[in-house]
Amino acid sequence: MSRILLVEDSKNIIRVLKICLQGAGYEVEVVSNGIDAVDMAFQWKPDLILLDIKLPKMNGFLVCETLKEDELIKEIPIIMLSAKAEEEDIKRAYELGAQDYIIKPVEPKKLLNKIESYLKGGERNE
Amino acid sequence: MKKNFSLKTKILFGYMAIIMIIIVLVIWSINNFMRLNKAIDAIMEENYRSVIAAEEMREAVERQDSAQLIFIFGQEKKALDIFQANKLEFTKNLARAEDNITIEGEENIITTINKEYQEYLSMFLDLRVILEEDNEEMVQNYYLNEIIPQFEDVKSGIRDLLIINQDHMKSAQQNANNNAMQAIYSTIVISIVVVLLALVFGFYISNIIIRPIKELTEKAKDIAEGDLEQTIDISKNDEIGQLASEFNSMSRSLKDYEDMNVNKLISEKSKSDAIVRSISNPLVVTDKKNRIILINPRAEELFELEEDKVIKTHFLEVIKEEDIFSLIDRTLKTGEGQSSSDNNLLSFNRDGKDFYFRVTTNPVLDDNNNTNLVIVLFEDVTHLKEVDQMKSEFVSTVSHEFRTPLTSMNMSASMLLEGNLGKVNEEQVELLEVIKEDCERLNNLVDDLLDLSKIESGKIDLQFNEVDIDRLFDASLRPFKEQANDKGIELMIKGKVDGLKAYGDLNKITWVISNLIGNALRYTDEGDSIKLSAERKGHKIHLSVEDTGAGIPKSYQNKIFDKFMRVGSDKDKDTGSGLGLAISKEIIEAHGGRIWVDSKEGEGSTFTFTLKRPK
Repeated sequence: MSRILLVEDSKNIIRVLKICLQGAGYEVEVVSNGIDAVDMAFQWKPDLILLDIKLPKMNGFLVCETLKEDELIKEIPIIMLSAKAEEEDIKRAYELGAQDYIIKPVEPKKLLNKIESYLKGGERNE
Repeated sequence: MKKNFSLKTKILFGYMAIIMIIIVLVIWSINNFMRLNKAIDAIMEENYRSVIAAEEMREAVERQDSAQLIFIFGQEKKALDIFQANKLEFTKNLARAEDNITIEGEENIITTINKEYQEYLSMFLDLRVILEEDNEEMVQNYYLNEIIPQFEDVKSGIRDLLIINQDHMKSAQQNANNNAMQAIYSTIVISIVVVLLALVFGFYISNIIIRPIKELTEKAKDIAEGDLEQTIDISKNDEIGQLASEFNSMSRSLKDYEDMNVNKLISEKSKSDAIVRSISNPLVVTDKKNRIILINPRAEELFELEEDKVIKTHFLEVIKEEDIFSLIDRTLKTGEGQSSSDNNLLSFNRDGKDFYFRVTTNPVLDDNNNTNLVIVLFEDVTHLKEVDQMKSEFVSTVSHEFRTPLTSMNMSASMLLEGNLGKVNEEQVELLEVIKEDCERLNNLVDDLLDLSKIESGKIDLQFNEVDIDRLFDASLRPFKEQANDKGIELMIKGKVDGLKAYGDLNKITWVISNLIGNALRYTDEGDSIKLSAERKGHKIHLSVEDTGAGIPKSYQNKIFDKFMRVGSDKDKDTGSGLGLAISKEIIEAHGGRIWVDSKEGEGSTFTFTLKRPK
């Protein structure tokens, strides 16, 4: 069972996404700030990280940058999931090593398709 | 007492004096000539006649002597005639000499001559007596011993007369010579004196005239050089004095006039100075050579300068801002005002706070429309910039805050609709779809609000490039192809667009066309068509999106480019924000183009906009 780390600070989105992801058969761990996200990524070593940008304590960009600096952790695909639709933000995310950038709101089907494709790709890479 | 003579009188006076001197000289000369003449006359009158008389007398007495000899030799009658005739001649001449006694001693000589001559005559009588006695020897003796000596005595008297007169003639000549020499010398002396006097008068008169004129000239020069404090101190009442007084009144008037103008200028200058100083924005004025000629207190503060130290210094030496200088330079060259763009504001960091200034340059034109000065105004836009920042932060925050709940709502509705979480009935599906559609609508509204706020705040950055219409249409159509197919609407490019080019921002124009296609799709049904076309018209290119949809009622046609204006409230499936056309209009106008609609209700609409062609 693939494990997904959900980094999100909105309570209702967490609730919806948890149902969505767990319903699709993933093991989900949730953290709601940047520092916890980094800690959890190192401790738990998920198969994929869904990362919001606007986060307390440490923003998503910084989390992404930190995780991508580590030789092992950087292999974990990161999908940025943000309400920010600015081109510069998308560009920055890719520059920092994020695998994808999804603008909220997103259709559950589409999100699950993407997650699945990254997890498959990841397995192929291993 | 003041002299009241005019210059003319003075000159005449001087001339009169010189004429008087010349008259004196002439009289003196005439006097000398007359003296000379008199001396010559004296010679003629006093001596010459006496000399002639003496010569005549000597001749007469010598003929009488001959007559006596003729008498002795017997020719008595002839001898007596000659004797008597010459006696008469002698007496006549003696009388002449007597009448002309002029020299001292002359009278004695004549008396002696007369006495000797009477003796000589009486001796002739004695001779005649002796001859009658016929004593030839006695006659001869008497003649030789008595008459000859007496004859010599007469002659000697005559010689004395001659000598005395000749001597006197010589002395008279000497006298005349002396007089002539004296006349020459005195004339020379007097002439020299007259010439000197004339010179002195000349100098004096010309000085009288020239000196004040010189003074006038000097003062006039000073006035010409701008020193209007000149007055001429000439108390004379002549023409020069009048000229001087007129000159003084002229220079006074000039000074009054100048004072008036200077006062006016000073008041104007202090007025403009006060205005410049009171301007709360920093301001710098530069001249043709880009030197600073004015800087107001706010600008001194801003650039941390002191006006006195930077005046007449080149702008770049003082304010090292190439961007501002290029604006000044362009204004100087083109004579047109310039302004720094919003992306190129002048920024300062003072006390940890950022300040932003928009720089505007304006030319000051002279009479010939040449740029004389450039006014550089620094407009403090820090506040605007802050507001702008606040606005975009606000919009960004709001949109984020909106999107988060929208996301959870949308996802929830989607997941329920998918039916993975349990079966939903028909009514439940309908309700969930309502939720989903309105979520989408709200989301679009947030997107458009963000776009519009960016455009309106001037934040939109147009990247001008050559745009291939071919490529533009392709990029705009592609995302709609599936949707159009699904709805059974024909979506195509009408006519040939190969080679047509526009000048603009590809992404923004794509956005506009996409928006127009999206609108058209919303108002068209199965069997309708949407056609894109492009046409070159002069320097512009016209791009159109034509549909065969519902069309727009006339009453709406003017308003559809306004914000939140939507046509057809019956279109309940519509998820548009009502901002698309407003944004399109902003974008096209930012390109310098125009957008409009031609539409007939029930027949369809054609949206057309213009763009520039590449140069």
